[in-house]
Amino acid sequence: MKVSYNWLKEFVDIELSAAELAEKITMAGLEVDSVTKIDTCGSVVGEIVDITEKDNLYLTKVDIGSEVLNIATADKNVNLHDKFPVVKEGALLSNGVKISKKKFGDFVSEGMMLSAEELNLEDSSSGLLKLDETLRNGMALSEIDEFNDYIIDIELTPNRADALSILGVARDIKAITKKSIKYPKMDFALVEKNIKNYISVKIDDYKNCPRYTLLMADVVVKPSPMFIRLRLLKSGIRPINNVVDITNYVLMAMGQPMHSFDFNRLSGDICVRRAKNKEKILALDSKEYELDESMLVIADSKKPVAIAGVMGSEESSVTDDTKTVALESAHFNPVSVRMTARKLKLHSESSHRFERGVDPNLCLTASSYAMSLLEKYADAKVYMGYIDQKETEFKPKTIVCSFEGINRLLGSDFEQKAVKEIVEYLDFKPKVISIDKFKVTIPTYRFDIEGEADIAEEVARCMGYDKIAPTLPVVQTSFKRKKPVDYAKHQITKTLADMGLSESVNYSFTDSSKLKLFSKNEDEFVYLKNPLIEGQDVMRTTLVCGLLDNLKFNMSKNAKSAALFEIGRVFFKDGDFAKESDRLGAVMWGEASFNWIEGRRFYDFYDMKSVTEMLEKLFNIEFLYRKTERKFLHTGRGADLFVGGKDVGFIGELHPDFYDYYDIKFDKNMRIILCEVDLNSIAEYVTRVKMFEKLPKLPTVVRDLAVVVDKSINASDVKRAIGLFDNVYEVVLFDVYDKLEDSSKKSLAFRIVLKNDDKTFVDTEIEEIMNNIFNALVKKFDAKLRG
Amino acid sequence: MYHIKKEFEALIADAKTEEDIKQIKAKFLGKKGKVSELFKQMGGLGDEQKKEFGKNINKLKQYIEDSLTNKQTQIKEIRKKESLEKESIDVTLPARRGFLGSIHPITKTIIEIEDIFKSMGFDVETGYEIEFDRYNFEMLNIPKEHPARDMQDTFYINDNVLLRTHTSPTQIRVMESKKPPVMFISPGKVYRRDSDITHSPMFHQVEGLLIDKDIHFSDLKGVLSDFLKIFFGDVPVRFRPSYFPFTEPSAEVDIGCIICGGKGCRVCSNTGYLEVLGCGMVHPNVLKNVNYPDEYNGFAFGLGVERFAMLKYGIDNIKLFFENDIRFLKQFS
Ligand SMILES: [Zn+2]
Repeated sequence: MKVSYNWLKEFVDIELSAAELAEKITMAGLEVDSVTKIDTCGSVVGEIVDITEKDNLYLTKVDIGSEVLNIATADKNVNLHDKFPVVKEGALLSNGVKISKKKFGDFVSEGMMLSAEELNLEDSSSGLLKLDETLRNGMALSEIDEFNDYIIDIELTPNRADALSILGVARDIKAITKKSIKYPKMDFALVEKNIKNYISVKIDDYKNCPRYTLLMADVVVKPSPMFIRLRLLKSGIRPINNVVDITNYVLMAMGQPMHSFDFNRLSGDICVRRAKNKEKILALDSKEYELDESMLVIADSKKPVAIAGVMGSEESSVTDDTKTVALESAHFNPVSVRMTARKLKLHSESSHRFERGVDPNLCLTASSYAMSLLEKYADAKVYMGYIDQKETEFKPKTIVCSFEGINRLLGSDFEQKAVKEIVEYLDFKPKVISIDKFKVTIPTYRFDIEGEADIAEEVARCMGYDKIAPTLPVVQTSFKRKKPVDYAKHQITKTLADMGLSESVNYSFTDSSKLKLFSKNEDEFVYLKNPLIEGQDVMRTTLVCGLLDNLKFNMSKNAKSAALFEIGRVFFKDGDFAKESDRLGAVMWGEASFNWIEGRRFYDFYDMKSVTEMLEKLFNIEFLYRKTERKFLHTGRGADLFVGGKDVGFIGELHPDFYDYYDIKFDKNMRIILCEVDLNSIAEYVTRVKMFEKLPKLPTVVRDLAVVVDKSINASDVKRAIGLFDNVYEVVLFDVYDKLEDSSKKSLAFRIVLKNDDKTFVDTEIEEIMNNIFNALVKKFDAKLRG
Repeated sequence: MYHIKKEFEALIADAKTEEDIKQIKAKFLGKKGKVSELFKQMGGLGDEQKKEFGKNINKLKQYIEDSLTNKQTQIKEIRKKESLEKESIDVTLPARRGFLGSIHPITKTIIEIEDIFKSMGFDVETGYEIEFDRYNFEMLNIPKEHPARDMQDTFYINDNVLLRTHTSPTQIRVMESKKPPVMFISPGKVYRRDSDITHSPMFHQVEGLLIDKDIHFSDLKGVLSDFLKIFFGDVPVRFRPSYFPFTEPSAEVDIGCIICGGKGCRVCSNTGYLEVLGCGMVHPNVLKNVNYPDEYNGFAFGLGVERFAMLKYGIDNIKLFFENDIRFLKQFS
């Protein structure tokens, strides 16, 4: 909310500069975003003393006191003796435009008359900014109070509806700086007409409209005086005419949204009722809205004339021809206004305030203020009497607080006297009722105050949070146990980074059309009801999509390789809710090495296998590698991973067909290798302790064995068969050779470490063991010795 | 004898190889060597003189032997050194095993934050990223139609299920399952329907909650000030009144701008301060919602991990975190 520094000063004495004030109220909970001094760009008051029209252009002579300038303007609304802000050639506007001489035929324009836009007071102006005629020609605008001002932009938290006005902010300043509020004059004369003879109001729905007041007056519609127009501009509201401007002025000043109807455009009496289904209204923003039964409207005998608390209709609005106005000042239910505004996507200064809460006791004060202004600036003749429909009075609530309780919650040592004083300045009317207790009466504009904690906050913020010295809590301590999955995540992250992989973090939502390529079961997808963009419409069920996106992105940046991993959640539908699971995903592609020692080598399956083997080592588990059934993996170069009979993930090359989906050219040297493991499935093994294995007592013996087997035989099966022998301590596969004469065969060479716990080996025993091993391999795998 | 010594010294000074040593040794100490010749000259001398002369020859002999041994050792040392020099390598060449991997700055930041709070005795809890409306809003004192819902634009799965907009539902989850006292932090992903230069639809928060008997707002100030000073270095910390529906009193915490040192710059919008944390004393309604006994109260806080990482590492664009450009990631090994 933008507030004028000078306007604030009318409501409360301020001895601080605008910047100091901003700092002060920020530290009291009204966070100031910015303080902007109005830049008058060196303009002065200029009076039009001559006008000639030529080709839609007005060639004027403008008296700026010291001289008379020739100025051309396109604004049709310039009249003789009008006064406008004027800058001479050479002046620099705040939007960076430099004023220079311009020729229009023989007419040389020597300056420019300004609009509010050029003075940075609104985003776009439709005409020049008219100044009061009483201002002296040539006077610098910066000498005029309304221009010598600061706009303070406050970012109000939603609880502080009470501060959505100049008065509201002034009340806070008053409490913090211990001053008092200066109320404006609100008196006006009455004429011999009684409102009751002209109109009546009926409320159908007191829940959503607890109060509705109406005043009437005959008026003369014309432009508002300069100070009203400028104050509205400074508040971000566009001036229209004196009647509309004054209701907006009061809204800004006091926080009471008001609406003025052209009485002669209303048909019959007013009824506050629910809208009929599909009832339509043409609102003041010139748009037509279709209403429904949940929405509250103000209606005359024929049709809705306003969407309650949101916006009036165009057909009942005040125009230049309006003679009599009916001034609405009402109280609407915040939820009802909020629902309606949201459904219609129609937000106004009025709905913004009603949604957050407007003082129900403010209605008549605000309309009196408006009437006094209308009398002064719209020649209003106010009718006697007023309409005030309500079912109940709006009584302030009371809260009993404890001085000690407040200090205990804050950890402060504030004296009773100081606390009481602050509460008094907040107009909470404290009454001490016992040695420690006091009762406060909460003004009806403070919807946010419910209990002692709220009073404590009020005290703390007015004192200043810095008045509470920091302490450290005294707590009951206990040991904390790290959760297995968290332990696993940390270990894996550290180890993979050590192994040369880089960690990625991807969005949890992805493109459903892509995800379908990787998922076995679309029924499990968790879709977003309101995705931000089409390509982020479903929660991921695998980390692979994101990692491939990362790969693609890096390829576009000319990366020659990528080894990435991610640890994150995947999501599956579970009835109306979802199941979440932690996954490890990894992708490798491109140059595994490119250096002076190894030269160039590309990532392959076995690089990725160091990831799964790391997991086996780290958590003492053993994966069973089964031929993959996942359609996105290379059938001959992929495996599904099983632990304890459960499918926990996969490892393998991306199927060549899938490169197309990612628009990546398939290069048989630069394969994409993927891996994913469900961490929750292996978490149960994480805390299992691996027991110590005794070292061989006697010296071990090392023998090599090379066998030729069919290519289809898994080396790991051969290795496992060797390991079955009691005397075998360790088996290392140190060579695989598949360029034999018989191309269906391969040679596997093992280093076998033998141990004997009873006595030292003799050669014949060793030979016997090696023979037994070989014979077993012959039997099981049809192995032959490599000759 | 004097000349022999001089001659020997000249020769040995020039000796370069073991072969030279051998020749010098033969020349002076061999059977026909100069020293042996000297012994032969002794024949014609008287007893006293012989004794004196013999002593001197032996002295010379000893001198030559010692010198030769020394020289030989020296030559060996030089040879050894020379042969090692020949095996010289370029020690500036890169190592065989490069340490090229990296931990994402978000993870690094979370780990650092966890470590600080763990050292104070906080536990680490994880929550759900897909949550019920009830846990994300209602139990946290944000009923439907509360204007505070506008502060957080929400992704919905269905009418009652959503992507959590903050890590605060974990407060409720933990308090529902554990009796007080509790003290934990909870890092994780959160989601808001918002995407521009400073907003990402997914980002990370760390939630904190401490509930015990007799906890004060001053304790919140103490814990968070210390935490911020450990994380960011010795910066000024200030607490400002603010509003969160689930805390009362509530505060926003600013640190002195670490970019400009408080003088005012673009990053801190010329205020000299950077907003880094939201916090407050847990609202009585929230404690009531989880049926915690009256004698318990405490504080809660929430911080944005990306913001912390951006300030700590000087990262200027939130998009960088999720593009996963290897050139970016590898800076965090
Ligand atoms: Zn700064």
